[in-house]
Amino acid sequence: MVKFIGKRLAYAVLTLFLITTATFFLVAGAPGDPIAAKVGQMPEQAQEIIREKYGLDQPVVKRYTTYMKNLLTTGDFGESIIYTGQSANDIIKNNTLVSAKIGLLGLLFQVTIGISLGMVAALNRGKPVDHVIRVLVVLAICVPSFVFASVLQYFLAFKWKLVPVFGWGELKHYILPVAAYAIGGIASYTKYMRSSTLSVIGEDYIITAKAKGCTKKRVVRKHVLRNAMLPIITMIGPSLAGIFAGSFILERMFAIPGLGFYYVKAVSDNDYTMVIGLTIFFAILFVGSLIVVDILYGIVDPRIRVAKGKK
Amino acid sequence: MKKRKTLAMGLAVAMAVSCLAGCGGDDKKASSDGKTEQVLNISNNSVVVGLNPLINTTGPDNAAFNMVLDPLVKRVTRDGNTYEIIPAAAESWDISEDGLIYTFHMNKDAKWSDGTKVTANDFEFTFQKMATPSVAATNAWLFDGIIENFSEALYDQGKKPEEIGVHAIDEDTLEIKIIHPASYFLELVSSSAYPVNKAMYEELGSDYATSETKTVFNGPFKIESWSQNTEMVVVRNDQYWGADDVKLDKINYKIIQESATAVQSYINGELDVIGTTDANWGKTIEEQGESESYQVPDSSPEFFMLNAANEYLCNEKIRQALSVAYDRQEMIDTLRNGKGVPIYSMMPDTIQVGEKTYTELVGGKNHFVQELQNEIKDPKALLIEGLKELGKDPDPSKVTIRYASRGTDELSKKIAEWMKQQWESVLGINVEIDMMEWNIMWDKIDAGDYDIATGGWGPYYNEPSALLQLFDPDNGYFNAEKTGWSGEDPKKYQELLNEAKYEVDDQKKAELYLQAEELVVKSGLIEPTYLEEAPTFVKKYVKNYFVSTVGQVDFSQVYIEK
Repeated sequence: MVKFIGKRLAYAVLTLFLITTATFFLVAGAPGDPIAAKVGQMPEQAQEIIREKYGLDQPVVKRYTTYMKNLLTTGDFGESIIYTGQSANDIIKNNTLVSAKIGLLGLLFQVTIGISLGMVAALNRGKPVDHVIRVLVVLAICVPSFVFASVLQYFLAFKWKLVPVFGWGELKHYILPVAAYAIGGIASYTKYMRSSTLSVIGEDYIITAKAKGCTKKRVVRKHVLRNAMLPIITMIGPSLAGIFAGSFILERMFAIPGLGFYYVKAVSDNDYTMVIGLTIFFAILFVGSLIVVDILYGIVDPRIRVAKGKK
Repeated sequence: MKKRKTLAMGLAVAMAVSCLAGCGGDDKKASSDGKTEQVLNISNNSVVVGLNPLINTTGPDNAAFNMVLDPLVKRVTRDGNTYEIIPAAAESWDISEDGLIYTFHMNKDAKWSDGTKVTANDFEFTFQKMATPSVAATNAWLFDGIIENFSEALYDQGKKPEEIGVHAIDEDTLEIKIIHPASYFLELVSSSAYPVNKAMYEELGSDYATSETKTVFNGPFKIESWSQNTEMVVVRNDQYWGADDVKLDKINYKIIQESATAVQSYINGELDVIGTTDANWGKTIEEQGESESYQVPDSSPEFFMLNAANEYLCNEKIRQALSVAYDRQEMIDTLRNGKGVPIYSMMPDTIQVGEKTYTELVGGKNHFVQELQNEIKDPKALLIEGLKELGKDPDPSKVTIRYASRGTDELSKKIAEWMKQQWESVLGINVEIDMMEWNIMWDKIDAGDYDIATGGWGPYYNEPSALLQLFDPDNGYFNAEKTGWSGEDPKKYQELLNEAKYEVDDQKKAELYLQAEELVVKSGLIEPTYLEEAPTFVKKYVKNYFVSTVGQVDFSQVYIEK
């Protein structure tokens, strides 16, 4: 197991290095100029002064080595070119938690509600409850979250004034974005839970359990739920990495101070320190969550661990 | 087994609760005495980039500085789309006969928010820092070629920043020497020279103003808290010399990128001022009846620029044909819901030369596009004539011209498609649309790799040279390398601008500007199109909030009366 994790980690470091390098050269080679917005109107000479300050007058390879040296020795992503005076590290640090709070809360609702609804639908297969849930699921999966967000915003906040239209800081500000974030996920978890439960219900061991005289409640709780949850658990891993990325549009709609704003802006501004900093940050999260999933597989299902061990 | 499940449930609940509790943590106190506290809620869709006036000079930055920093003089908006220059950190000023020496007498009661005195030395220091190349001050170029020795210091050509023509004669007197008379100099000082605190800057260096606690303020308000992408809270600055007259206690300056969100919160009373171009929302606001609406065009002309190095666009007749081939009012009606004002000159009618407007001084002769429209009855025939002059195939359908969009947003797409349709149907030529992000467009213009591009420009001061300078063939932003402008005209243009610089008579000055403008606008090199017009709605209980084409809102005069 230790060897397995060690190997995974080594691959992860290599992956991160490649991602950083590729991102650097892609951004450096992309058309457009990070300081165009700042210096666009200035005469040539005045532009040169600003370019020098950010080292943009240096050849790209030199910039790369300087950047990597800095990154490896100090872990510093560098100062944002657009948000003068602020380091990319600070911006990430200050805004990550906000995005994560919405994402985590949303995920919690997705999993709990999704599992419950999926079970209910499966256990009532073919009955009206099942049909209603299935129609709602299709609807919720088809409609993108920002549409839900604007509908919720329009009715709950604007028309009926139950919650504020936008804002951040108080409990009431969480309601709309978390709801909008959760809806799509609730639908997918419901869908997977329903089909997973249905397949478990048909298994021999369920029939055995019933034959032994288990109560229906006990069969569902002890046998169906636990086994049907397996595929769901493996879905949660990638979702965890996605909790930061998932709410970009919602952050904009509800004026929430998360990372999304910077990520989108950094790309269109060619703010390469920010783009690289954020890319590395997300890459670490993603690679990290993949490792966690790999390990979880082994823990949750011993068969997988054994199979891996044999290799 | 049962225990474990309860534990798991408990953990999940605890997680949820702690998360929610964490959310409630940064709960702000609602003002309980709402009646006595004067609070104004405003918003912007772009963030304040930073608080250092030397290097942060975007629109939102300036809007923030306008509340918390007093330049030497201030340009503020008054009722009815007018503005005036009022004393700020300087209580009065003298201008020498030849217009070259400005002596500012500092307001002796002016203090920084830490209680120290605002002195002439702070301003001297501010200008010196601007002229220091390593600071890379973003407004520096505006004073290059105006303040004595400024360019020599900024471009390291034999002068030190200490040698520029800005001197603190004593604590209360600041003298600025400029190299040619400039009626707009005070305006430039008001918009582009917000001060830094000398003592603090010397202590903190590049760390100055990296957060609201690492700077001080000398304006009517000071920043209480600042979270870049959420909100800036400014409160009354008790150390301000005019604090007794400042009526607002607090301004919440929020960042809302999504305009629908901003409008809905305005209607619901969470914001007090909103600008929107959306006709439907505008109607809803009007119906609600709680708002005053102000509709003034801005002062930033939109225009098309034609690359004179292009095989077709080097011909004046072809350029003129393109310029008159569409109706500007129709363009505004179709593309901007009628929100805009067509322009036929590069100069908005509000632009001034001395006391009077430029348009008034030249008797409206600056409306060159209108003149062309009257002269040219058949643009297509003119185009064909031009093609013949060039010795090309006179069949317009053989002509292909590229149009570079300024961005990939909805409006840019609509404009591109509309222009293509107009030019193709009226002139019979082919127009290829080149959709690109605006920063890429800058690159392409830089490289001269475009045929027709879209431009827009907000002049830094309300005088024709602020716009005409752009096309200076050597130093202008759209210099000859980018516009492909060649021949005798560029030289003549430079001479005219130079002559105007030293002309003291307003009438003569305006006429020189007119001749210069003729060279770029009548020749079709630049096609002015329209001024944007975004209605601003202000809740009726907000008093003294004026909107104008130029000038900042004077927040120190705004108050709430519910």
